[in-house]
Amino acid sequence: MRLFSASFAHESSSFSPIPTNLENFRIAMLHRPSRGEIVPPRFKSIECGITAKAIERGHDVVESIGAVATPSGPMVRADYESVRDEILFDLRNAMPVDAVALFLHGAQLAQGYDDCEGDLLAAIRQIVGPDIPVGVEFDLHGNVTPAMLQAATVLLACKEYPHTDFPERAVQLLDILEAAVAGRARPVCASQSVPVMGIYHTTRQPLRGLVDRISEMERQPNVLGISIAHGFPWADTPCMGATVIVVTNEDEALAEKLAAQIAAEFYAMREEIAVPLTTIDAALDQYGAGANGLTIIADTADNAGGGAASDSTFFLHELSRRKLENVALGMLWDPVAVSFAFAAGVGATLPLRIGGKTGIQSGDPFDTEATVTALNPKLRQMAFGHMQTLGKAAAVRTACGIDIVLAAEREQTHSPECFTDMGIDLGAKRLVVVKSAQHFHARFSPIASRIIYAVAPGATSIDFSTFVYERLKRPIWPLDTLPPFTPKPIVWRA
Amino acid sequence: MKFFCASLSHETSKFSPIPTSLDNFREEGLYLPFSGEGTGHRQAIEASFNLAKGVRKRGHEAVVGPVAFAQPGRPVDRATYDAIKNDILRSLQCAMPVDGVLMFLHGAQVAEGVDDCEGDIVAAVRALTGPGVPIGVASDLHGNFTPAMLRNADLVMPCLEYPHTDFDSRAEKLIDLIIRYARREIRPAFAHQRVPMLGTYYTTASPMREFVDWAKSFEDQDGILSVGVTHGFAWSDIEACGASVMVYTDDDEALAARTAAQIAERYFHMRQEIRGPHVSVDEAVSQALAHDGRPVIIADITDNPGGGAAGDSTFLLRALIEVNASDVLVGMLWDPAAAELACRAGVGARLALRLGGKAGPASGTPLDINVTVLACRDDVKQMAQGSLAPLGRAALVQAGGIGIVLNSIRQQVFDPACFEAFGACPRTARIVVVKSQQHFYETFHPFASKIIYASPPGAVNMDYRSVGLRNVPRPMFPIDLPPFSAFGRTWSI
Repeated sequence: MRLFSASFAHESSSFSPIPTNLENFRIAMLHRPSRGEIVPPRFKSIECGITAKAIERGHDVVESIGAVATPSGPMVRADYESVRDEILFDLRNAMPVDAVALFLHGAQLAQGYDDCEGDLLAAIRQIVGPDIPVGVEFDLHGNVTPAMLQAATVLLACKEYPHTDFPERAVQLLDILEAAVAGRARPVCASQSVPVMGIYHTTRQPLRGLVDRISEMERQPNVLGISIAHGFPWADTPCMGATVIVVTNEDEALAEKLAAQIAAEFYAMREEIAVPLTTIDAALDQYGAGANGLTIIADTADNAGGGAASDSTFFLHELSRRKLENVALGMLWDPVAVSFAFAAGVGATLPLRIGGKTGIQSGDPFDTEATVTALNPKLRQMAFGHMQTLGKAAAVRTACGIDIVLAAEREQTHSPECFTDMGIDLGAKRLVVVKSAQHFHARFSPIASRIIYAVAPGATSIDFSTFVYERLKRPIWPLDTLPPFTPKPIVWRA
Repeated sequence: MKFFCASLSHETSKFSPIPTSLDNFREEGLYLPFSGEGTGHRQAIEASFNLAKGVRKRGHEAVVGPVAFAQPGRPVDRATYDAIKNDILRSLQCAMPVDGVLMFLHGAQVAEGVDDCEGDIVAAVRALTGPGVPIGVASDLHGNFTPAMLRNADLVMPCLEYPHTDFDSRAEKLIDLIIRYARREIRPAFAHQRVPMLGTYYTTASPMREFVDWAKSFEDQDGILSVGVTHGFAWSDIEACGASVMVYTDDDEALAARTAAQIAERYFHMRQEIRGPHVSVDEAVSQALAHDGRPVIIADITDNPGGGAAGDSTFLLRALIEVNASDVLVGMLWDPAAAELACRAGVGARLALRLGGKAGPASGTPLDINVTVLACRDDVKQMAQGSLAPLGRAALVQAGGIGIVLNSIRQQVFDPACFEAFGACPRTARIVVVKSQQHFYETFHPFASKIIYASPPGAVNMDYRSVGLRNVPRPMFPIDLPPFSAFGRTWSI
């Protein structure tokens, strides 16, 4: 089949201090084959799944833009429109096509656009007409909108948080598109929105069990794909919230039934699966009272992967105040401190002001006499199953003995290489504070004897009462008291 | 005749938050011909190097060795210093035999483990050339001049003006004298008189102005080749720190010694008067607001990148916001992160920015403020002592009645273009705060209604008692009350 593919993914936070234009994509990944513009594909792995698989299976693939950026604020309007219009331009040139496959985030905002994915998909549908299957792989932190459901044939979110299953979802989506093009399947969707906002780890029960059960359900006859989109709580939009999507082969009743059942289950477990609000003090007290081995504390509120600056110092100040030993912290985004460390060289001791550079959510800068212990011109880490190349990084030891990894590029901490490739022996550490909400889990859990999720102040705090929401649809749990939840799925047929 | 020309300039402050490595030199266009660094820009570098230009203008051959400049900062990383020094020596070796050596060396450079870089370099150059080959060194008046440098060079010619508007004319004079010495038409003799005082003396204000004119007039006397009046650079914190007078004569040591002593005594006598009218932040702001006429220029002297400060302190900015001042411009705040965020948001965007306070404690507390982005540019350059210096990614943002220029390549303000290129109007603003101690003066004073030198807390701390100086010789004015002869009488070779 002739398949048109494109990726345009950005998780946009209404509360991020980091503005977003095309430059943010250029740093991370902006692949424009039609212009011959290919830039370091830091995120190549997640977006290229469908394209690579389709090429491998011998399809005629027309590849348009691949654009992914680290989460940050809503994109500058003109830049959003230019990328969107380039995709549409490429699609018009590629017509006729048999199918369209897209990797989108699901929680993308631009200035003047509450629902970028809905906007893009509607325009694509207009070009390809009503009969061509349009499949979308997206992030479970997407906020699913009616515009998306109306325009797409199939919406398929990853199931896992950490998102370890993008490659499987890509294959699954391609299978569905192949079946649809061959006339072997007529996908029909049922969706059920769930009025909750939160961050839910699929690594813990009872959500683990629910995810396993929906994977089981996908093996039933005529079930093509089941997604639980958790929603992205820092997008202040009317469609923010969780959504269950069930795609079946022409079986509306089955899709509706499963969507209602899963949504009810998910809603019922909301209290249990939400991440508890553990303060810095409580997290460090838990650590202090704890067992042997390595404790990982996730600084979830300063997660670059959710739009935070990743340069906050709340933990650092408290670690220093408590004079804790055998502690490492990273990665802290601080290009200025990195440049000072590079200029000073390995072994140098210098006065260094660390962090606290982006805004109020970054806390007060941390001043110390730091010793530079390692420099790396190109730090790499494992992220989403692939090696991700970051920029310059420096490891410094503070006067109070805390090892800190400073990074010149803003990216969440996915894997222990962020420390070990900077000469920090995690075997000799008792506590590592990582700037990440959950993606660290995939690679750190094998070496951790305990993981504590902490909630400091920050742009990705799960204490939602600290943000001023203006456009969010109320009532929503946990901010409001809700009437009983009765699922009434909506059926969508392209 | 053939002359070897090279330049190495770094004003080193041991109290700066900014470490200095090869990248800091690279940022300013490093040229190391022996190791091949920057040779793509050879023509441009040779064309803008005053010593080489002057030699060629006179019909002689100039072989250009390293040209290396970095913004003032902490002591130079040892490997970097060794690499540049080595390139000077290797380039010279390749050029030999030469009829003379002409170098620009700052005078206040310190590297890790080398307190006197200029003395170290001149001694090594002398060891290569042997005696009899003329060595002339042009320098900055903010140098600390050591016996190693003065003994090994035949002529040391610091600029006389602050702002340093006379680098080119002093270079011309140095070239003429070195050529005459190479022809053996003269034989330089010299005397050096240390003056036990430290300060930043503006030659634009009385009585320093009259004093410099008077000192320079000795150069018209028979037998006197040149006069140098140096101010010293306290923050290098080396044993040779301090002001001095150096006089070169044609083979007349006694005349040199007499003249140096005479000039030095008058210099020392003025020490209290020329200390500079430095006022506190509050005083600067209230004086500026009370002044009828515009613009008032406030020089933020302690946060001068040209003295090793970061250029991102927030003391004056915060004070102006607190009194709700309007029609104010502040620049340039070195804040690559904030400049980047403003440019990403784009012209017209409103966003919350954390401004300044990023390099260290001397930068003060960062300022959290809502701004509107008025302009973003990557291509702005300012005229800085004869060459065009790029500002890096830069933005003009507005917070209330205050326009703030944010830039990415750290440097002081030399030129109103730092504001005008972004559409701001320093000539008609009520108050303009410049991150510069004195070099702004040349281009700003023609339109300034009043100039205030403000001394907030900062890396170029003017209160020498609280700097933490360890090696500056004592007694030293204004820390102590030394006699004129504290460091002995004049000396010569």
